[in-house]
Amino acid sequence: MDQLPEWMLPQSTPDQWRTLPDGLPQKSARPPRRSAARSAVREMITLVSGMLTDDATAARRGLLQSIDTRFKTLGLIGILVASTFMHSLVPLAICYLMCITLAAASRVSARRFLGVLLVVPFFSLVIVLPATLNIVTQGHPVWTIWRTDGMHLGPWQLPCMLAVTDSGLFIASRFVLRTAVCVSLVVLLTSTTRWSYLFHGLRALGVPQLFVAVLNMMQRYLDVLIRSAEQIHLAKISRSITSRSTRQEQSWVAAGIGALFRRTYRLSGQVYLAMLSRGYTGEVKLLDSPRSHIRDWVFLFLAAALVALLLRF
Amino acid sequence: MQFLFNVDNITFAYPGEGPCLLDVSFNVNFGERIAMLGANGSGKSTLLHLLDGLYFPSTGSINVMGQKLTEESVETVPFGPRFRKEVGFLFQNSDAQLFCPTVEEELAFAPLQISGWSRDEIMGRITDTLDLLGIAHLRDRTPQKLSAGQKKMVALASILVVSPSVLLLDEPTAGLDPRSQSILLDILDQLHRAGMTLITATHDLELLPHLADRALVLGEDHTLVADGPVEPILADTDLLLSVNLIHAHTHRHGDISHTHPHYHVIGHEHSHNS
Ligand SMILES: Nc1ncnc2c1ncn2[C@@H]1O[C@H](COP(=O)(O)OP(=O)(O)OP(=O)(O)O)[C@@H](O)[C@H]1O
Ligand SMILES: [Mg+2]
Repeated sequence: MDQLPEWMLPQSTPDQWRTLPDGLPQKSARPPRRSAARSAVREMITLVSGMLTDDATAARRGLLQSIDTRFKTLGLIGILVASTFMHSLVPLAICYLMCITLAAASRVSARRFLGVLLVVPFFSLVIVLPATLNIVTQGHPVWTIWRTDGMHLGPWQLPCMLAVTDSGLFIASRFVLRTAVCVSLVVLLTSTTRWSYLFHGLRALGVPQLFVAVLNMMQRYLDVLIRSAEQIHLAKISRSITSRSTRQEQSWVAAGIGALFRRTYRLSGQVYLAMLSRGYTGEVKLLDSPRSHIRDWVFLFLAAALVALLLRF
Repeated sequence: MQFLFNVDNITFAYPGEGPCLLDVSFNVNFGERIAMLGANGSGKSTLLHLLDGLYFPSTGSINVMGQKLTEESVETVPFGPRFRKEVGFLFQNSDAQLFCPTVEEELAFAPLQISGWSRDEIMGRITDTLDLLGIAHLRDRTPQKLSAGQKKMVALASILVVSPSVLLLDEPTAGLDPRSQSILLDILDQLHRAGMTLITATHDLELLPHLADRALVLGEDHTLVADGPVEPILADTDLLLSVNLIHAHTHRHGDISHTHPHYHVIGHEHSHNS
């Protein structure tokens, strides 16, 4: 059998653990920067992969879990669509309060519900922040940031001040609130419904088979994608010796994304083959066929009444 | 004498799940050969992730050469680079471990970070490693397109190429053909004689004596139920039965029906005294 090459034999002695490895000059081994972005990304991965794969919430006994999927989908999507037509804050706030109540009654974990709710409106807030300013939205200034007193910048006359306006604030809060409502409705629907039932419900509501089959594969694909991303991240940390330059890091990210897609493509291809081999035809099949009860009609009626009421504001 | 690893009463749980390691404590000396045994789901792979500083215990601590493993400490100099260079980890799923476009780049990933190594030196190491593992012909292939056993050998090569002194191996022999298995065992044997520390998670009780001198046994309740030399542990059928590593097997020979413990699934010989 082959002799090991000389260099491969373990060279380090216990004392050397207090020094850098040979071939790594002190100056090139910069302490890796800790990044807040990384833990934020990790947190989001946990949240999204939790949403995608975890049927535990759907298995709990709770209000929304007890409603037939078809009615639930129709009711919640109906409220979602209606919320995009609500132009004042009060009905949106009422919708939001209703979401919180439903989440509590359906025992959706606060971590998941609030986690998604904190992340999404935060990003939408960043997007709409400029809209609060008088240069974007006309209105009464409520908070003056900077008085220019009619300064000139070259040929341009600057507006005489930079301020947050009341109508700007109104537009921004409406946007954030509406995003929050939409996102929570989607979280409520997906986390209280088993995926297969959700897809079945969409089919029952007349969504075309091809469309539902694509959604179905997409959910599996995303799940594989997120798991792979997490594993590649760990595998890379395990073999990283020094923190590298930003440029190297960027080129790695590009290569890593390439590897990620190659792998997910292959894996999800295999998932699809495994589904075919077990008789999948593109149609969603369920263990027990759903049956509607009085409470499902009550739920739908309440949802419709709420929508009708709120749209009158 | 300082321990290489000092694992002190650690508990670990994946987010939103119950505990998957409970009150686990043990020490590892330099140059030891240790096997980690346990039924499926007992927490072997998780424990290896913790030893590699990829996950961190929720309570208790892991010290490496007297330095506590934390998210911060693995990013300090000189401990971080030293730790990552000296400790190599072969994942259970090699598919998860390979992320470069070609096998050659896969092997170059870690050495490229050691700025003192010249291109020639790195290329030399890559060639040596591929030759040693008998996979020189895979050099320009895409790792994701290889067979499962080939991926495992490439993953192993990508670790050996920086000459680590500690190897964490998760099911290293699973899925390898007899030739690759014997190459692997021979390399591990030579490395061990040169002073390498080996920690191997495995189900292969027949290969165990070739892989380790000491065994740690994880129970299905995620606690450490045994820690000691391999031979007595292999002989302790009650222990192995209690952690579901072997199964009681009832069968008939003519008129005699009897039950005896097994660690092979099929094909076995034994004598009857009745
Ligand atoms: N990424 C993960 N997220 C959540 N739970 C996990 C994850 N990985 C493992 N687990 C859980 O942790 C427990 C231990 O898993 P682990 O992979 O460490 O077991 P193992 O001993 O290596 O099993 P095997 O012999 O099958 O490789 C299992 O119950 C498993 O369900
Ligand atoms: Mg495992």
